[in-house]
Amino acid sequence: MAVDEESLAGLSPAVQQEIGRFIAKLRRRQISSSQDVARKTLEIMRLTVATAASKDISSLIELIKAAGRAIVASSPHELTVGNMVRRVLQIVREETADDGTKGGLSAPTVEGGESTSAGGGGGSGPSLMKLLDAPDTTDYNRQPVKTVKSPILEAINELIDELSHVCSHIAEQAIEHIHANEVILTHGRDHAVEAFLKAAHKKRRFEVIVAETALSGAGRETAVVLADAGISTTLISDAAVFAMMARVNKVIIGAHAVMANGGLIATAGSHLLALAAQHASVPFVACAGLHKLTPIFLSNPEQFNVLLSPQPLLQYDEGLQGVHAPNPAFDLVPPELVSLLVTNIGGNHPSYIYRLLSEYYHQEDHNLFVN
Amino acid sequence: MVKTKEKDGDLTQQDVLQAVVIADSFVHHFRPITFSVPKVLMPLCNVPMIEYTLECLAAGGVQEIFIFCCVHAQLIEEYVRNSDLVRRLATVAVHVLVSQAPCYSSGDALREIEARGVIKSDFVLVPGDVVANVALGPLIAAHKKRREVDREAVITTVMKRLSPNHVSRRAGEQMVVALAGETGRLLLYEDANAHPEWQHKLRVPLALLQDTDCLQIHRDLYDTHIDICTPELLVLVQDNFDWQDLRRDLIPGVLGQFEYLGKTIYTHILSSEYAARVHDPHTYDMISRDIIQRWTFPIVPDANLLPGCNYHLGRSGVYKEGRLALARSCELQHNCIVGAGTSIGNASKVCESVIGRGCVIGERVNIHGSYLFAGVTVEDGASLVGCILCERVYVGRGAVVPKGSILGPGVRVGEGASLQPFVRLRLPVAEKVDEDDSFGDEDEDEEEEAGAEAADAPPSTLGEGGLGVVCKGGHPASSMRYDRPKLVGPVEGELSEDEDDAEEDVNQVQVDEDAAFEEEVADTVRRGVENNHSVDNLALEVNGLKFAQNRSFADCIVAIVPALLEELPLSGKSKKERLTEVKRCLNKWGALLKRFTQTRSDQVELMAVLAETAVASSDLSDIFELILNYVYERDDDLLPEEAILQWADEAAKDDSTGRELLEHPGTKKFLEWLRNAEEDDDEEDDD
Repeated sequence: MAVDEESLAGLSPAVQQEIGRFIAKLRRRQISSSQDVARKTLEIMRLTVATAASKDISSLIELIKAAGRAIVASSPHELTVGNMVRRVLQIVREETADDGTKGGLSAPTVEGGESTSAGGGGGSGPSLMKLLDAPDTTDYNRQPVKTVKSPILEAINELIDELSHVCSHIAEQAIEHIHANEVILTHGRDHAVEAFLKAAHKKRRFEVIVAETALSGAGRETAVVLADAGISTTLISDAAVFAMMARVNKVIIGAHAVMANGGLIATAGSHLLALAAQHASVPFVACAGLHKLTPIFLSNPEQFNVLLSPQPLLQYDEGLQGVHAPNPAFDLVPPELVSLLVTNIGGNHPSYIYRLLSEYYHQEDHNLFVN
Repeated sequence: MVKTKEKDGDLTQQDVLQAVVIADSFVHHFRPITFSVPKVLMPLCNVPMIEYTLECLAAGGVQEIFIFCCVHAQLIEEYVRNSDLVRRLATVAVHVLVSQAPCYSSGDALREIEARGVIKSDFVLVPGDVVANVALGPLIAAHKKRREVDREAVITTVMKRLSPNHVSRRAGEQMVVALAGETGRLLLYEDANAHPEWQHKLRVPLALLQDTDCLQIHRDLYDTHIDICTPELLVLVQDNFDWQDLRRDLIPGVLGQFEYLGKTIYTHILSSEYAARVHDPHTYDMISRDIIQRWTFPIVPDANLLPGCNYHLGRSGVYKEGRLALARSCELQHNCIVGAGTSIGNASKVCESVIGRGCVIGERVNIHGSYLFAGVTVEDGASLVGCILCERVYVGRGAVVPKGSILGPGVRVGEGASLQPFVRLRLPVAEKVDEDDSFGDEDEDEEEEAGAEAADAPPSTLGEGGLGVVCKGGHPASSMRYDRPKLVGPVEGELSEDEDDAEEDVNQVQVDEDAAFEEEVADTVRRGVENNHSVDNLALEVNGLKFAQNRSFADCIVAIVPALLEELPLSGKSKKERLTEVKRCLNKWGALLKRFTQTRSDQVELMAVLAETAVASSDLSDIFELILNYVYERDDDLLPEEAILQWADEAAKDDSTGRELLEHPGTKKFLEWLRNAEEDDDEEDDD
């Protein structure tokens, strides 16, 4: 995943500078919320499109991909960045296709033929018939950028707008999932989950048990926030999760990313939680905005995990030089343990993720590192 | 993280936050590596050391960094220019200040920075070899807050807790730090090694207790060498042009001259963050391990600080970059870093090591706790343990590079060679370092140099085709893997040993003080004799010295007698003439001696000193029994027979200097006579 410096050269200096700052901030972990990451990525994409000097769409797509690659390569574990780049690429392709149908485009070219042969898991349209009959044959080379630039920028702005409402859209569905007098178990800290529980609290009375999420202690923060909102909250240690599971009606957690197979990358300890839930036949619900939807199958889970400092686990002063103290930030939850995925457009079963993927991302964009 | 963001906002509204990075440590612990490359550009986990410092500063919200360099300034300038540093750091402006006059210390560096007038507000001062993940934002805010309370605060030093015998400390480092508990004001900053008497008892000036109600004395603070300074500090350093080292001179200077300068220093103790400075190869080793074990998170190898870097973390702390040619049966065991383009042969083992880019490791090689820079070649069956191999080093088949050794760029270790531990090698000719990669063309040269090397280093150690000369570097204690003694331990034996040492030290000090006193008294007496002072006046002077230093009469005697007798013109004279001289002298100054012999023990001491002085000069030892007789027969009872006999008994018992005098027939005779006389007296008394 080396950064191709040459393609970055096509970007305007302002974009390059923005990308540099963004990469530095990600590296220094000064942006932690994936929503902020998504918004910043979209802003950079907007700037890229706005300042692009490209004549035709295919070079614009390449430019966007190059900018995306630069950021993704520097922090591969921030999957949201890649997702947002893919969303923007999809916008560009859609706008071009709309424009193309209006203008009455010419016959398919060789390039289009290639894309059909690569197709398999999904396509650009929702219908299988359409997939077979009308492969994506848009000739991006012939499309001028000028005409579609402003609709693209408008669509990106809409996307940024949508992003700021992700939490509230997820929270709106809370009443459908949380019933009166239920006991909910949660873990870690996630803004969507907080909003979800708070929204349900407006209408229903229920109880929340929070696992402390050791090392980071994020669960403690969640407990404080929920108790402040007037929800009856119990804080337990991570070790007590299994014992408490028998009393629990539902497990609701947030996710760092939702993978192509419906599996989750979530706070360390989630897998344990999911297994306990499965053992007690408790539904395991994940709340995640669509910006976390990642069209990647995990071949090497370690690649997307981040090992943090061993500091909370072990005091440096203890001087245990021989002790290996890994402190992973994330866990991988396999799709079969996830009962429901609540996104900002509604609840879905993990097996339905592939449909969402084909709806929001273009097949050719799944791997940003292949031209 | 959110907090830091807010801090960023705050800082931008105020002045530009500046930092000074001193890219020279003014010591030679890393020779021979530092002959060709400045220490701050030495790779630490395959990333030049200064990158860690700069990244920490940039992450902390610093907006303008001045890199001050003296030695190898050109290389550092080039590095900053060519490595795309400014774009990567993204949020800071970087300026390189090249020293115009030679700089020998960080004090000189600060004076030159002051002269440039670039520092406008509070700044962070840090050497270019500090690795830290400290959030500077809150630190700087705390420093500014303190300045509002105490206008005279010039520095906030950053320290972290680390037990005094922690393995990551420098060998022998023992800092004693006293703080005012309420404010964190630094009251004392001393190296315990400079005060041998502090081994068991710490002497603290009483004034410290008056300053604060809550005095904290720490031995568990590790100085991270990160300082938040006010611009006035530069003026202070300018005024005190004799301050060289920041720690050895500046801090004690400011603390010691508080009455005069009125400046104060505060200390911030880190809670959980990591900060450490690469002082020497030992700390280099320790910090490398800490980076691999991710204590420095988020500044870790897979953060890929350098452009084109592409490290990925695998299982058990193995970082790999790009395309590697790893043989199927080679083992990357744990905690190691392997750079791109490196190939490792079958059955080789790598453990707790860092291997640079483009290295070629043969088969059955064992690499443990070693640091290989780029382009190193290690042939089959070699063994590397705890060593640093610089760029393009060649290690021949089956060679052994043991712990603590440092091989400079381009050094060649021949087949089957076995080096000494802690050896440091470099290429013979300095220019050779620059003209790399041309060994093939210069076969003759090579032979010549191999011959020249034979003079410096035993050729047998470097093996056939070896190339390199021994170079003096730091003490082995600063080298990697040096088995240092435990400082404090529960083991009884060790403790008692320490005590013995302490006692010896105390005795040593005592002896020095005694010598100084004796010298002073002797000088006084000689002056008195020369100028023919009266006995009274001389006695007064010696008495003054005695009281000033709280000495006993015996101490004075010890000093006076040699001073009197040694000045006599005795050489080349007959026994009789010599005796006359001594008699005359004692006639004149006997009264002085009398004043300082108050008790029997003083008399014995006088006798002993007389004997000692006599032994020292053959002119006196000849006539010793005559002098003794004269002294005995004196009217003033300067030396009564009891004292003489007591001395004789004591001298006979132990091996003191008087022994040979006792053996002297004359003396023997005299003593015998004396004893008989005494018995006679006794008998008479009995009657």
